[in-house]
Amino acid sequence: MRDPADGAPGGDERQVRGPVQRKGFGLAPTGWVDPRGRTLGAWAFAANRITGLGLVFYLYLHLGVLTTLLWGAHAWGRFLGVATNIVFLGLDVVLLFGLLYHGLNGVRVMLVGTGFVTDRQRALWWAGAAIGTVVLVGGASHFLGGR
Amino acid sequence: MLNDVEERGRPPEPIETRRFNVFRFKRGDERPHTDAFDVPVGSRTTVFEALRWIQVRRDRTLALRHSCLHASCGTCGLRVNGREVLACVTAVRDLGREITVEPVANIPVLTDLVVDMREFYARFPEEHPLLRHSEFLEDAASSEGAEEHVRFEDCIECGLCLSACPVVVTSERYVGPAALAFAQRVVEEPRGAETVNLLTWADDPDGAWRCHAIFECTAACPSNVEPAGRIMALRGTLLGRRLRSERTERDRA
Amino acid sequence: MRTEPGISEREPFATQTRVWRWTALTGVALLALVTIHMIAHHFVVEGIGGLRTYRQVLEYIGNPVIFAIECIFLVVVTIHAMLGLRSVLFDLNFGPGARARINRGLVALGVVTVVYGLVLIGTLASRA
Repeated sequence: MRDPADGAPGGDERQVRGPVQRKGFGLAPTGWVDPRGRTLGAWAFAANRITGLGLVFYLYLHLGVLTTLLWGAHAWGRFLGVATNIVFLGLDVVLLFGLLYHGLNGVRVMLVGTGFVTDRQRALWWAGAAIGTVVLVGGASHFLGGR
Repeated sequence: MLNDVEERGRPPEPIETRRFNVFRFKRGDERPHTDAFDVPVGSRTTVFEALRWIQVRRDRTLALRHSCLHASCGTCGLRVNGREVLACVTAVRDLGREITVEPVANIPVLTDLVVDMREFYARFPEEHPLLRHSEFLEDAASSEGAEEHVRFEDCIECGLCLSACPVVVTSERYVGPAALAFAQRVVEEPRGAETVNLLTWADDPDGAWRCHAIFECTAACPSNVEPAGRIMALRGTLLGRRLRSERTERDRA
Repeated sequence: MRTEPGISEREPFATQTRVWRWTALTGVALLALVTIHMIAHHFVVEGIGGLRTYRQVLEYIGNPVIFAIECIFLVVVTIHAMLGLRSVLFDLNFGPGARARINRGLVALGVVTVVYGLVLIGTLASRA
């Protein structure tokens, strides 16, 4: 970006940069987290980021959990005892939501982000939401229905 | 203006009072503050008219920009209740009892509601032409057989897209939606202009690739530019360019 | 025009088009791989949540086709995760030097993740 003060009229006063208004709470670079007053696209982006970060966290959590397999059947059996607890199964539903949201919105981002159907980006989100809801309900009933 | 309506002999519209909380900042102030004004408004009063009433009747020091008063120049861009609008065509009646008026975001404030648009223009590539013809006026004579017209230069450089973009704060070097949309318009219709430099300019982490397809810019744009769609089209062009150059390198090898 | 070299000129391997392409391609691959993984681990075995016992896990991972799929899944998901983290970190307004270090750091983290995961899968498969 060029220096905006280059050759500008107004003398030294205009060299002092005035306050810059930002949208969103928190430190400036994290303002995207605050979707208040924004449209669907911003909500979709914030949710995509949050589910993505959650899934990265889950990746390492999952690798850590799978490490218990190295300690034999007994260790894994203890983990299964915890993992079949209703709370954990509920977290599995949350995981499924995260996967579905990130995946389906990711398809939308991939299409739109390469210049395809940009005028239908909202409709794509709603289509993904519909598909995701159906799959989530089915998955949740499977996870929780087995108890 | 409200008085103009009365002077033309028509009965005055019903008047109600709305509270305007207006952002204030003057050079030398430690920090900005907000001043509240109770403004009488009618059913057709615009935000600009209300601000002008404040300026004329309550506080002569209130600074704001305006020009055409019909959404053609982009000068009166503001944030009203957190959303980017052109004040001259935004009706007060739809806005609620208390109305917050602030300057556009992500551009330094010069004074009150006036921002330093040099920082907006500094984001454009250096070969940004000052004027590009628009084609096909609505009431111009149509070519025989033409079924529709398309205008290519809708951007009025109001800065609302830059204000709405959540990504601008993530990088000081991000060129922003208006500049990228401009680049795409030139790439789409060069009219003899050289586009290679523009594509190289856009193919940067702080160019087209900083955009996260949030579409706030398109939502804020008052002039049908659809900057987000244009940025995505630009990315498609950049991808195609990269794929073609890789294929050429492979054929040479 | 920009006068200082952008990161794409300092680090040719990290050109933005390449990053975008790989993010998109790994994302598409994950649509299939995650679906297979979730079905296999939650919807096949009878039992609460469809979770496999120790013996069932070893039997599953001991199948060469499954082994290959899970290895590919690990690599693809790690690439996608690192590229996603890169996107989040690059939004924190770092300069070109810091961005180059982030690139290198994420490559290292990704390599460690894949190596650990492959060792884990390989060890389990060997016990089958």
